[in-house]
Amino acid sequence: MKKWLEVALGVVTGIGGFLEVGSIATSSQAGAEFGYRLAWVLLLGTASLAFLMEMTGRLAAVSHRSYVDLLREHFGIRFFLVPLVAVFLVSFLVLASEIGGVSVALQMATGVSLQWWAVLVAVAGWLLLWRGTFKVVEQGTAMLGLVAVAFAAGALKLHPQWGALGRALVPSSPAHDRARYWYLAVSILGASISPYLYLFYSAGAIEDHWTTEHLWTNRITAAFGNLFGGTLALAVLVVAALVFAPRRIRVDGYEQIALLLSTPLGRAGFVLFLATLFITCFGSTLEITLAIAYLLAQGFGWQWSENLKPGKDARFAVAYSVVLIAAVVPTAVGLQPLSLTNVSMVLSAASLPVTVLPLMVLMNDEDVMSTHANGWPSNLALAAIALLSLALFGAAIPLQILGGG
Amino acid sequence: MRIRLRRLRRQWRVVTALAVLAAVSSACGKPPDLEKELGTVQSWTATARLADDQRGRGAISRVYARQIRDRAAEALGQERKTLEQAARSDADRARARAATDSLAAAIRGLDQLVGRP
Repeated sequence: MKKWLEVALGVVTGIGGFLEVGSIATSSQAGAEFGYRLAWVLLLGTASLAFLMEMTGRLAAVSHRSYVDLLREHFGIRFFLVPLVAVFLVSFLVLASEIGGVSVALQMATGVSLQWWAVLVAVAGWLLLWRGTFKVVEQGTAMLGLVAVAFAAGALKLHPQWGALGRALVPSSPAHDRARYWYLAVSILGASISPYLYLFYSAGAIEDHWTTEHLWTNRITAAFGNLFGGTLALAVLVVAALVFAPRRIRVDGYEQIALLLSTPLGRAGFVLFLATLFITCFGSTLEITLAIAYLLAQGFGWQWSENLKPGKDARFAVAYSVVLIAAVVPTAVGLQPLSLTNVSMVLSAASLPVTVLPLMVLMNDEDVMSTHANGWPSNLALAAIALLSLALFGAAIPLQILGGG
Repeated sequence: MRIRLRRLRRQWRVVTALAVLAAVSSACGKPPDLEKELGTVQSWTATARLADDQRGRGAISRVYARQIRDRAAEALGQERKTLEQAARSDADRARARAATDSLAAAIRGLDQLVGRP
């Protein structure tokens, strides 16, 4: 019974991890501009993230060390500085856009400027991290995040063309606006496979004291949690394809996105959209802040755990406090949250090789993994993801210049 | 070692210079694209009309409808300037005027529902 509860909570947590400001923004932009056509990218991103989470979770459960810990130990501090700096910078930008997302939701609800809200969001987040435990952060926001199911309800109410949606799961390229199409594809992948997601998952496995007995839980959580989250991101794309695309509305600001759910669900849809944006972005704000503090603490060998009192792991607590305060700055000085989101998603995609390629080595090291090293299906999937990450690394910046406008 | 370091520094400077050049040329070289700008105006017109319709049905709050109106008005101000630069002929200018007039009318429609700023 306890195991099933763990699995159910893990699956629910998948929504909190998957659906956040990046996936809401990029899926709605994709649906508005290209209809169902980019659905295949969401499928690819969901499958890739599920594999990466399963592997980093397995790595932590078997070795009792997080992925970041092993990355430093196995490859040495000089190599480790590359992923440390890259993941830190990219995650910081994503964190800033999540704070922007929560603030936009509050601005849309109250009319008070998002710059003021950004400061209050950071204070509320900091208080929760300071006083709360890992379970409160992980499961509390995930349970509330179930409100995002409203997107699935909205999509069903609009009666999507299932045949066309099914065909869109096969990769294709449009005859027009190719740069924009591939730019959005890269943004969706950046939002789906953001490095903080699997680094946080790996640290969470240590926080929850996973052992080899949890390998089954890990597999089910990674597969179904991401399937659930990916389905909701697909629902966002479908709603945008049915509400915005026929009216030729392009998403140029978050203000427009709230109109998505009020079209099929009326006033309830409007309220549910604001709640979804607020809760999922706030949950992600907490997760990314912790992921950055984990990265620094594990990288420099500090004492770390969200379950310890801040006095017991002072450097870890100072790290998340400073990061959270600093991440308010972009929104507080008036940077457009949607532009910030788009840039951070593209850079997330570009940063993937530095965390994906070393995983290939670790997952095949029998000293680390003993009998749980990757088999050929996992290696095949990881090799495909590694190739994808290299392609994203090469294409992300040129596409930001050509298709980002 | 020192020669290698110097060579590395030189290569780094070349890469940086090329990156700056690419960024500057992409930012400054191109005049605004008329079709793209007209698309933006059309998108905000449709957004304002959708917000008008939904506010009329009570599906969105007055506070939120006001924010849409303000963003659409901001977009109108920006696009009027950009379209002036992008329009190359009288026909272009007529299309630009029709598009901005249409957006202005949609904003006036929203004004009646939510009140003027």
